[in-house]
Amino acid sequence: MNENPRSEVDQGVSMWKQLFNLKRSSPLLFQTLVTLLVIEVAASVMLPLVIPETKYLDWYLSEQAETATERFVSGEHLLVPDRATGWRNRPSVAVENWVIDSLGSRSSGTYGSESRKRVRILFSGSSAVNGARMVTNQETMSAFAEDEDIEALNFGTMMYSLDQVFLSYEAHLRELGADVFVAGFNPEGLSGLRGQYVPLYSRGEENMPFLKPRFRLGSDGTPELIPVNPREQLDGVPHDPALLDFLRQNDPSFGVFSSYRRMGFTPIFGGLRSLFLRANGFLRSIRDDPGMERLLTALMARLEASAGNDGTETLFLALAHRNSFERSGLRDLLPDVHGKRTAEFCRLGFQVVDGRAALRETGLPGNALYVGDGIHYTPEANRAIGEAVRAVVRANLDLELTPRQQELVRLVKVQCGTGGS
Amino acid sequence: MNFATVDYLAFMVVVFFVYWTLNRRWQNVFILAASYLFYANWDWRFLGLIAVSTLTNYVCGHLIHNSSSQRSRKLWMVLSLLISLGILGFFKYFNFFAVSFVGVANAVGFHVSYFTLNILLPVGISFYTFQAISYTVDIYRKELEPTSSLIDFAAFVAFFPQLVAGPIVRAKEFVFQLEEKRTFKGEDLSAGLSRFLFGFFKKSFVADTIAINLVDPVFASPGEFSSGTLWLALVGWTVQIYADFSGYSSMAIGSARILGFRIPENFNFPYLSTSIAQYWRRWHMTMSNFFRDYVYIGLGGNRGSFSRTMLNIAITTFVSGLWHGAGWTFVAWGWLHGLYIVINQTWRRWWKLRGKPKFMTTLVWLIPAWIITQLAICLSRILFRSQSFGDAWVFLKGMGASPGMGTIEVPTLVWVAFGCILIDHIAGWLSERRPEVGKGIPLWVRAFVFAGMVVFLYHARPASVDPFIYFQF
Repeated sequence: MNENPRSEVDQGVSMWKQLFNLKRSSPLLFQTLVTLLVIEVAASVMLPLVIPETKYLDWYLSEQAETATERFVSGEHLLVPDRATGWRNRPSVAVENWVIDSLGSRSSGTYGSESRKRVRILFSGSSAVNGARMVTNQETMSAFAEDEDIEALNFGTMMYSLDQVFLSYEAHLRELGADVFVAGFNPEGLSGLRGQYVPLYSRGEENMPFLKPRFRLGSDGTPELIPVNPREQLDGVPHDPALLDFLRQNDPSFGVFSSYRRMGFTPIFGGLRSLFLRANGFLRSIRDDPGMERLLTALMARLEASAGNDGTETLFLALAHRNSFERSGLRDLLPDVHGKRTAEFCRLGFQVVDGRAALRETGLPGNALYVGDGIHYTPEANRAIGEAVRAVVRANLDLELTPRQQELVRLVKVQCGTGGS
Repeated sequence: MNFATVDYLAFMVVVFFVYWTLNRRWQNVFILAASYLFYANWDWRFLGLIAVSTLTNYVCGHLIHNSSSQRSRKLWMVLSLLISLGILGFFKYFNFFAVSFVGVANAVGFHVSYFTLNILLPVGISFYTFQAISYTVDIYRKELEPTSSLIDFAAFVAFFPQLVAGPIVRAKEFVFQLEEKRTFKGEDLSAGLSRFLFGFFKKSFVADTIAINLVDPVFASPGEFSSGTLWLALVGWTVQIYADFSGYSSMAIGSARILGFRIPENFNFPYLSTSIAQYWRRWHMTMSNFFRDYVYIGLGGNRGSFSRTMLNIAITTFVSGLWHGAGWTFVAWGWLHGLYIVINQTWRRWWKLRGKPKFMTTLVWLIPAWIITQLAICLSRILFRSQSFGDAWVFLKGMGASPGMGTIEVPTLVWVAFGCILIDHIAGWLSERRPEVGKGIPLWVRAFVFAGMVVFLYHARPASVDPFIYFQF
C-alpha cells in the first residue's frame, strides 16, 4: 500500500478530476443532472406561459390553507373577517384553553362598560400577547397585570402587527374607555407591516391564510391606508384572479409568489429560492430598514395621538422571541435590533415597556419562559411581563408601589440614552 | 440525525469531500470521528457505552487469538459475550424482565413490589452489539484474525451508515475493507447516490405517506373503523414497514458505497416469498443470517433429530423476537414465526417424503403458497405493531367483525405509494427471472427516471419526517 504523503494529494486530485469529468467518470450521474437541469429550466420558463396564475396559487396554498380560507369566509373559523383589521377574535367562544368573551377579549373575568375598577387597561397585539392555546385566561399577561385597582382586557389577536393594533383601537376598542392602552409588538418583526396576504409573508401559517389592510407612507410621510374587504376578496380563492390582481398592485410580498411560479416547482431552483428567501429574511432581521421604521413610528404616533384624544395613555410593550432573549453564541455577534429600536422609540418620545428586560429580570432560562416554538410565552413569562406592565401603570398613575415594583419600573421602562435591555 | 433530512445530506456532503482528500489511515480516523459525531447527534450521553463495547471486544479478540489453550479461548469469548450482552440486556431488557418477574411472582402468591429503573435505550445498541459479537465469535471460530488497529475496529463498530439500524455487518465482511486502500471511483459515487435515492424515495414518500394517511389513524383507534378498513390498514402497515426498513437499508448501503465501502444487502423482495423459510431468506437478511450462524447453528442447527431441530428453531425465534423489542408481543411474534417455520418444514418434508418435490415448482403450488405465506406474514404484523396482547386481539377481532363502521378517505398518493412497492417487487421478480431486461434499459431512460423521482419527491414527500421504525430496536 502506498501511504506516502503524496498519495493524500493524489487522492484528492483524483476525486476532483473525476468530478469535473463526470461525463466520463460517472455517465449516469452526469445524465441525471443534465436531465434534472432541463426539467428545471422547462418548468421555470415554459410552464408559467401555459398554466394560469390561479392554478399556481392553488398549488402554493396547501390543502389546509384552502380549507381554512373557506371556513374563514363562511364564518366557521375561530377568527372572523373584519373590514377594519382583516380579522378579529370570534366573540363568545370556549374551546379548551381558548375562551373569548362577548366583547372579543380574553380576560380573567367578566368586564363590561358599566362595571369597572379604578383603572382599565386594554392589551392588544399578536398571539404573543393573547397567549394562544398554551395558557389559560388566568395565565395571560393581562391577568397578571391586574390587582385590586387594575382590570385588564386582552384583545390580543393571532398574527396582528402594529398596523392592525392601531386599526383595532380605532374601530373597536376606543369605545371601551380604557385608561391605558398597551400595544404589544415585536420591534424586530416588520414583515406584517410590509405584507397584506398572510400566505405571502408567512406561508407556514396554514391556518390563517387571510388578507389584511396595510399602510404605506405617502409623499408627505403620513401613513396612507390600503383597505381590504376580506370576505369578498377571499371568497373566490384560489380560482378568482381578482385577488392576485389586487396583490400584484398593492402587496410588496407578491414577489414571493412570482418567484414561486418561476422557481418553486423543481428541487434545485426551489432549493436555491428557499435559501435566498431565508437569507433575505435573515438580513432583513439584522439590517436597518429606514422605510419600514418610519412607517412603524408614524403608526405609533397616530395610535398615541388617537388614544390621547380619548384620554387614554399608550404604552408600547416591546416583546422578543427566544433567540433575541438569549442572544447566545453567534447571535451575540449580530446587531441588537430590539435594543436599538426600543431606544429609538424612547428618543422619539414614546413610552416603551421592555418585555425582554422583564423576562431577563426573572433569571429563568429560555426554556422556562418560552414554549417550544420560541415565540409564545409560558405562564411564568406572562407573569413577569404582566407584573412589569402593572408596575409601570401604577407608577404612571401615581399609585402606591412596592419596592419590587419600583425596581421593576426602573428595569423595564426604557430610558432614553440606554440601549434597551 | 435522520437519513431522510437535509441535515444528513449536508453532513454527507462534508464527509464526502473531506474523506476523499485523505489517505487510508486518516480516512479511517475521519470515519471514526464522523461516526461518533453522527451518534452524538442522536444522544451524546451514550458515546461512552459504544466506546466501552468497542474496547472490550477489541481486547477480548486479541486475548482469544493469543490464547494457547481452547479453554482460555472459550473463557475470553464467553467474557466478551457476557459484557456485550450484559450491556444490551441491562439497557434494553432490565425493566421488561423486572416487570415480568414481579408479574409471575405475584401470580403465584409471592408479593413483590415493582422495581423498575428509569433507563434510556441507547440508539443502535442492538445493532452495534451484534456487530461486536460477530468479531469475537469469528475470531474464536478461527474464521477471522483480530485487527491490529483499534482505530479500524472502532470505525467498524461505529460506522455511521449502518450504526443505528443496520444492516448488521460482520467483522469479516468489513474490517478488511478498512485495511485496504480505497480509491475514489465515479462508478461508486453514481451507484451510491442512486441507491440512496431509491431508499430515500421508499422511506420519505412510500412509508411516510402510508403511515400518515392510513396506518397511524386506523391503528390509533381500530374500534372505530370497519373490518375492511382494518384489513386495508394492515396491508398498509405491511407495506410501510418494508418501505421504511428497506429504504433505510438502501440509504445505508448507498452512503457506504459513496465512501467506497460495500455492505451486505438486507432485503431481497420479501413479498415475493412463497414460503416462510424463503421469507426469512429475503427479509432483514443480515439479522436472520446472524441468528442462523450464531444461535441456530450454535445450538446444533438441523444436525440432530427433527424434534431437536424444531427446538432449536423455537429458541432462535424466541431470541429473535426478544431482540426486536422488550415486550411479550415481540416474543410472541417471534414464536409465531417459529411455528410458521415448523409447519412449513413439516409440510415440505411430507411432500418430499412422498417423492413429489417437482410439484412445488408449479403455479398450482406456488400461487396458493404465496397467498398463504403473505397472509401469515401480514397477520403476524398485528403483534408486531400492538403495544399489548389486548390491543392485538381487538384489532384481530375487528378484522373479522368490527364494532366500528368508519372508513378512511385514502388520498390518491397512498395508492401511488402502494403502486411503487408493487413496481418494486415486479422489478425484483423480473430481475430474478429475466436479468437481461434490466441491463437493456438505456442510460437516458434511467437518468430520466432518477430525475423524475427527485422532482416527484420534492412535491409528494410529506412535510413531517416520521422516525425510522427499526430505530426503536
